[in-house]
Amino acid sequence: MKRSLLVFRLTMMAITLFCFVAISVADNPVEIIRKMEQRMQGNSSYAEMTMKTVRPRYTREVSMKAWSKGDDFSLIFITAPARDKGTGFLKRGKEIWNFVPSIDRTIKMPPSMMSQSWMGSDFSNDDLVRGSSTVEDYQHKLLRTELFNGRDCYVIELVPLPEAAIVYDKVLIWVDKKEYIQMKVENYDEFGDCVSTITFSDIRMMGGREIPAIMEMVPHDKSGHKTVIETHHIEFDIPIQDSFFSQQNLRSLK
Amino acid sequence: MLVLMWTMSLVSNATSGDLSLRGYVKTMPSFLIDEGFDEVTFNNLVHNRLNLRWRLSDSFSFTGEARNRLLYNPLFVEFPFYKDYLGGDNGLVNLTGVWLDESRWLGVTNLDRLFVDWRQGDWQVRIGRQRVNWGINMVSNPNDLFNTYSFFDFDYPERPGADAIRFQYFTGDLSRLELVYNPADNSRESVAAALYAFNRSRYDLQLLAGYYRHRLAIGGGWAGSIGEMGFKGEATWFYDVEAQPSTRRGNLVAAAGVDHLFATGTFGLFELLYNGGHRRQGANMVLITTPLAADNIMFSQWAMTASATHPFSPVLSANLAIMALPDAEAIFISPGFARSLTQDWDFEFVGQLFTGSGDSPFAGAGSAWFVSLKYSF
Repeated sequence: MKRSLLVFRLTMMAITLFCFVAISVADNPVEIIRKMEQRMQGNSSYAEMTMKTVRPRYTREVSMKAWSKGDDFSLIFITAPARDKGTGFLKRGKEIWNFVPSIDRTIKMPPSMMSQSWMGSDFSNDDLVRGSSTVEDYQHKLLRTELFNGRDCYVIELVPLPEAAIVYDKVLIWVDKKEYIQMKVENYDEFGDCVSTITFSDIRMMGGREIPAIMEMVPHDKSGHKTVIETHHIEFDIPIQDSFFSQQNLRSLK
Repeated sequence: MLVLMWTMSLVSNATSGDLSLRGYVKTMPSFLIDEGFDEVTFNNLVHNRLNLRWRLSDSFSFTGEARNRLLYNPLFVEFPFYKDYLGGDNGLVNLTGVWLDESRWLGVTNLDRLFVDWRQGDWQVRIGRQRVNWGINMVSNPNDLFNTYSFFDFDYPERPGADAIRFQYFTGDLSRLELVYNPADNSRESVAAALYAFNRSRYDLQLLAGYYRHRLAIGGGWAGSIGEMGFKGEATWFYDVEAQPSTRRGNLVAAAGVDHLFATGTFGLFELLYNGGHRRQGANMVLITTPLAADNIMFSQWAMTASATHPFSPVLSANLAIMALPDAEAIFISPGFARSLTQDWDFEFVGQLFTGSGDSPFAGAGSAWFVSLKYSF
């Protein structure tokens, strides 16, 4: 159970961030973010990913296959490490189930899992939830345009609305002007210090569109710590019914 | 070591295509210390699990899983029936073989899964030795009719399989109907039951009814939440088909609990069990690890369990479980920690302290301390 919790949060993280990848902007930042969110999260996707947690003295990897449809449906199948292979996660709306093959049981997860951060990883609670509330929970401002990694980018400032439960005081997002690719995120605390940076790299054609294959999160207060998510394969807008996200499929993924 | 090399060579040949062979190898030395701390017994266990799956087509597959154990235990000399228990097989067919039996040593292989599985559309049929897990709670499972269970046998999360024929019909994305028949040599020991599981208002619900070892069983369970907290429970009522002299004809076994993931990352749970089937029995360390049955699930009438697990880093977590059996005047305490050494190697430490009054089930049981080193493949 405890391992499952960790693996689940890592995988949800990967999925959420993935949806976050190509949020983009034009002149009205709110409108554009909404449009880009709709476009990116699109109808559905299938992805194969590896998440690597890097620490000064060790690295751990979790590999997975993930199907998703909108914000409400996802199904994740762990393919590595050997210890966890076959473990599955099903999310429907606000409910999550974890299938543990060795004991042939589907466990319903407590809701506290959805809304809280986890220890030991470089991603915070906000990173988890922001993917679905980038439009509603912030005030947006187009700050400037600048060159980042050889691409002309918009730099947008997101300030959380007072009622939004977000730990950061401010978030900056760099978006490629031409292809609307997410390039970088900086998270700021209440003292105006940048606490963590997410960079997106290895931009290539996958699933019929140009997207970054690598996301790297670096917390600035812990030297030698980072988390890297690599997408090996992705398909967008696959034909998939809501009924695919069933307990029967959770138990029989391969 | 030989087993390790053998499995390694098999793995390198077998993981391709539709045939997969996985599992683990571990060594788990332990010390048993008596209550007065003046007698220490050293045990060791080398344990290998092999999980073979062969997918013949999208709808048809074969699964075979073996548990190979080499045990060293000085208590074997004093309690030979413990060896008989370890080398025994409760199934309809004997799938357990003892390949070494030398005073303090026992080598035993048990096939605890051996089934064919067929699925087509909303139907699934599974025949053979399999795990049929109807339990919901984390500690006590009154709805788990097809398995024997021991909270204290932490080294066997997979649990023995039941020789059964099982039909599942998936009536919806989150609902299913199950029919399971688990025959026994003595038909009065057999179990046959139906389960209907469904989802309403963010609650997983299930209802079950059947024949359980010459008793009728009717039960149900739920998994949902109260606020942010998980809320689970299950209950089964058992009733003798024929009245027995000296015992009550019916009894209830019910357990409910809450679980929560705190902001610190700590996962906590609390569970309360009422075991109406409790019958007093003698104290014995060997008995403690002997599985109990769904209609008499604990060594007491009441049990309260609290447990917490905290991850200190991605590779290190610690946990503490405390179980109190108030009417038996006994307490069980289990501290532990788990450390991932590399991607596939794990180290674990588990302590088990049993204490209780003179005539309690844990009297004189003392404590057991385990370390394990495990390689998963």
